[in-house]
Amino acid sequence: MGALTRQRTMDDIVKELDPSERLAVISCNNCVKISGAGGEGVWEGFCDDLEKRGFRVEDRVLITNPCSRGYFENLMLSPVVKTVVMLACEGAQNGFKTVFPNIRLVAANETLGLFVASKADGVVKLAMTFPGYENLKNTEFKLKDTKTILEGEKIRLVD
Amino acid sequence: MIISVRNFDYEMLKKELRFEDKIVIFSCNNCAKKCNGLGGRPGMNSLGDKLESDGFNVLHRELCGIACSLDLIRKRANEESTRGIFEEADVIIPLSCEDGEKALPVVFPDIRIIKVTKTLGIGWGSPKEGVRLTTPLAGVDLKIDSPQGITIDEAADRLGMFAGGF
Repeated sequence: MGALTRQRTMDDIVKELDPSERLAVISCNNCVKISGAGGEGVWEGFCDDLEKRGFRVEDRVLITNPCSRGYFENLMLSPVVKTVVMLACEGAQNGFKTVFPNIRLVAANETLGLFVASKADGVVKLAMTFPGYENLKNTEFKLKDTKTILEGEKIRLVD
Repeated sequence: MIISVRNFDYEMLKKELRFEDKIVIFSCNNCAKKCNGLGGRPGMNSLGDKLESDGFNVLHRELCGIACSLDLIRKRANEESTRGIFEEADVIIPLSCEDGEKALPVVFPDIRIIKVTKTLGIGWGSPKEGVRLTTPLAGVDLKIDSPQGITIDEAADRLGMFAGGF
């Protein structure tokens, strides 16, 4: 748990894809679900959207916790797949690259930092940031929707 | 996976404690457990046993599935089995990432929280190769330019900190 991710726009993602290639879409089903940037309920629609745009999704893979690299060590992708689109944090993306160094990885998400979350408050809060996102520190996003920034402050963290 | 190390060794931690303190060890059972046993049950029991054998009053050892969930921390503050313990506690020692350390004072503003961990960033873990830090947080002075990353031990060494449990 803990990495706050935000899905890139589909228009941006498809710029990195070639309609003639066969893709695998791999999604984490852990932290990204808290962010609404992947996981069950998001990943299926993401695959469908790609296919509606004319891309061929050969493999659809949902992984409980892909930053545990053992999942990738046991993953069998279709031999025709040369590009993977991944809905996961950078940690999982890096783990994937070490197991499949010859497969091109297109990140569907950006990883902003680490969160504190509360379902009761409907909030996922960016508590710590990665370089480039410092200006968003302590921003509160709607739970399961990190494209929506909430007004006010429901969770006051102490540094 | 969030990668954390300790910025305290055991002797430094003892200096922060008084023998009359009623101590709760609050251990995350997710990422922190995988950080060479910093948290989880092994980290919790290792620290608890050391403190008790040195004469400190460990009132309670609490294992939390994910300490970055405020709801799970609130549950401990409110439910019958643990409410009284946290009302009595003077000190909480979180064995979690800094997210957990930041979340605890939201729920327990009157309890002293001793922040013993430093969160370095994210990475991946493997039974074959252990846990690797690949993506440091802003302000963490580590340069890593390979998806292979660096081990927790190496990260801790480079920063003059401590890897794993107490």
